[in-house]
Amino acid sequence: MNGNEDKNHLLIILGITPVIALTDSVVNAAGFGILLIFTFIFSGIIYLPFRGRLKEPTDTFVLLILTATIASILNDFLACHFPQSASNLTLFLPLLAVNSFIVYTLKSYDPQEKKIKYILNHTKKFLICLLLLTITGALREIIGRGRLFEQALLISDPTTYLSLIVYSPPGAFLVMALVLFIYRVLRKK
Amino acid sequence: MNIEVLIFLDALFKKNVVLYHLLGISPFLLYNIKLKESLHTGLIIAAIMVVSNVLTFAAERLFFIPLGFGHLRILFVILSVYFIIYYSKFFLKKFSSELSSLFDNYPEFFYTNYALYGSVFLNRGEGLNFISTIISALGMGTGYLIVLFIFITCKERVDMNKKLSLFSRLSRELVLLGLMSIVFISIILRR
Repeated sequence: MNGNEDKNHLLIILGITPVIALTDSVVNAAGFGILLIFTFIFSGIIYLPFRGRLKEPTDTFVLLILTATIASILNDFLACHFPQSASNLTLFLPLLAVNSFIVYTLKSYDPQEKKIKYILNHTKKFLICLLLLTITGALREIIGRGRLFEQALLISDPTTYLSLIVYSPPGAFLVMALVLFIYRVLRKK
Repeated sequence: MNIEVLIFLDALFKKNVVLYHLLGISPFLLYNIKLKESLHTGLIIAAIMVVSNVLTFAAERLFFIPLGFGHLRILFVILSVYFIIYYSKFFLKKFSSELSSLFDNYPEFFYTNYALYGSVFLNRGEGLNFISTIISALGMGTGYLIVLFIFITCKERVDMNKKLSLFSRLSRELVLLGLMSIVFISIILRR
């Protein structure tokens, strides 16, 4: 594998697959993608100045305290202002703290690099993740429930499913495989 | 059927931590782990799941809830599970260097595995008692081990047939996981 392919590999595996469960709707997928970017930027601003000054396991311990604190704040904020979103993301909000893409990206920072530039460069990768997650969420919501953004699109009854298999957990794997296939075809072109 | 048996079977099949809750998938796709190593990794993960569930349950009931530190729950669970994972490596090193080397060779399976952290949050969310928590964690761990073992067996056979490009491989592996998920869910439907 060459360098670029290697980076894309990590981008997809670390950035997208851990949150594949949240692609049951566009709002959940996009919402979590935004929270991921938010956590990365804020953890980066606080953690990067200390990178390289601490030894293991203190370094990882400090990073986890930071990400877990941000996850706790986000959890309380959503529970207070967006209770519906908070209940949809209930399991995954705390797990933001150990998201491998955030941890991997922050730990691979070289102290000689410029901090802001590094954060901005990697935010682009998180935006690609956000885009792929949103597309998967949209496809699952349309094919699975015949709806988009909770609005009737193909069927009007919100309690029925157009394709239960697409909306259920196996569908998350199958639709993600389809999205990656399309992504691959588009990249080749 | 006994309630404990039902909790175990639910955690093993119907609500499998990988195929239903979709936790801990990335290491499956990230590494080309060997079959024997997958067995060892799955066993270690199952053991860590049980230990972390027991310890966090006890600490939460004995200290956190009585002292009113409920708002620090996320921080506490994340840090305590990380420490259990971190010190498991040194504990295993006393018995086998081969087992402890798995932590260095496949770090994503341990340090940032959503299944390990998620199992604690899932069991807390269900409001299970102490015995049920242990049984559920055991079911989740066994479920993780079984899925990992079946997946690696299938993956080895597919990879052996021909050299695949990165995205083809990822797509195929996700389809394989999707099919496994359908099989696991239908096991319970026929129970």
